[in-house]
Amino acid sequence: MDANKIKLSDHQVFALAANFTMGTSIIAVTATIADYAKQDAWLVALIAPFIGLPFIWIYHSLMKLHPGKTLIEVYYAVFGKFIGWILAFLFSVFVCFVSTPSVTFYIGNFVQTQYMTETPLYALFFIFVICLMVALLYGLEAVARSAEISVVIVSGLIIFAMLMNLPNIHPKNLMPVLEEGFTPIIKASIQLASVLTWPCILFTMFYPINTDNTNKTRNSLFFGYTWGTIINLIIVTMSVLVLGSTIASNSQYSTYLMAKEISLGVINRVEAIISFSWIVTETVRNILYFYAAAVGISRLFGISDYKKIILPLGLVCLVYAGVNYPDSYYVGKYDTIGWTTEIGVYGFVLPILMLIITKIKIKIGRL
Amino acid sequence: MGIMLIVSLGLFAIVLCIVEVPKMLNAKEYKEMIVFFVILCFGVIVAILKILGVHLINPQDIVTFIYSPIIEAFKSVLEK
Repeated sequence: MDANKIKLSDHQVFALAANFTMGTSIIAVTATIADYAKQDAWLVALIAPFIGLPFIWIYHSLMKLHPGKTLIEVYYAVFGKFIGWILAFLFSVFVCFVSTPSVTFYIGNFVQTQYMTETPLYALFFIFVICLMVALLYGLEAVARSAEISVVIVSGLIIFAMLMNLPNIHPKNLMPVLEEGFTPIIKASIQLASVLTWPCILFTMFYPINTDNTNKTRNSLFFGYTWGTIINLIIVTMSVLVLGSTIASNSQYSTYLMAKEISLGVINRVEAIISFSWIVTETVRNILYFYAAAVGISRLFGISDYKKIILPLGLVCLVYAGVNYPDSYYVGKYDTIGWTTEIGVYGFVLPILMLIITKIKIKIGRL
Repeated sequence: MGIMLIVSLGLFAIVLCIVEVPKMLNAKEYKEMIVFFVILCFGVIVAILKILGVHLINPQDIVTFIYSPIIEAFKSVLEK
């Protein structure tokens, strides 16, 4: 098989994981968790790695028991041909493929509202979808190599922008701590996990099969995830410190708003740095969703090379980028309820269930 | 505007077929060809419907419908 010959190095796995985790968190996620947890949003971001790493460990140990398989074949092996096919179909179409136009919408909508207000949305979607298709026709290895470059640039730029923002912080924005107890923090942690942690299940589409299956690779996956959550922690904390929780939760792009506060005499309009970093990392995230969808759909129908169906899938993705989110009210409603439930089933319930079933099957010698 | 879009869409589909189909025929990959055509036809049909302004079914509504029992059970946890 063509797609299986690709081997990603450990550092490339780190770069992909870090890019994927940073992707949504740079701009889009702050508003959601500030909406749930108010001024305690930084606490939520602080515990994110401790919630996330056990899940990544579960994904790793599940895939370690099924060497040489992607998640699709693991569904077959664990649940049998029929139920496995249905679960794999729901995963690759309704989790991965439906997310691709949604993320495209996020990028296009952001560029339209902040920069190109007169450009029709579909013109922007068109550019981003072409970018997706070209990236996947080059293959995962090219994406991983570009991610290696972008993770350094993006992290550097974000840390630079946050340091520039230090004069604007108001420490009293964090007070009072734990005003309403732990309930809002738990609810916000679920929302944050639905964006940062559980989507990492789609790493299993390439993780053991296209990488080395050693503890070192696992550690680089852990490290990439932790790196992304640290950047997320910095961004969320700074958003609440600079803007206060009310403004941070009410504006859709609060990080962008926060970067607008920076002014250092000569250096102005630093917010372009933030939007550049966000568009780059979100595109990598989108490419990974699209890759998982393309590989998943091609495995479902027994196609060896996913590159054959990239162009038609791109056309479908372009059309649905304008259909998935009819208005901004729907964005908030779907992302906090529908998406969280769906990814909770696929990233939280099913992997644990599959791990237990696999262990039992190995014990009774049926696998 | 709509006519132009539909014509360019048709051109895209035709060029894609001209480029891709002979390769698959030579390699005798008929399964690939069926999946390719199904996805391409689906894409062309939804694109034409979208250009004509027809209201397409939102896939995220389907997701919400599929998981509606779970959503009902966990609504208090998910909502603010």
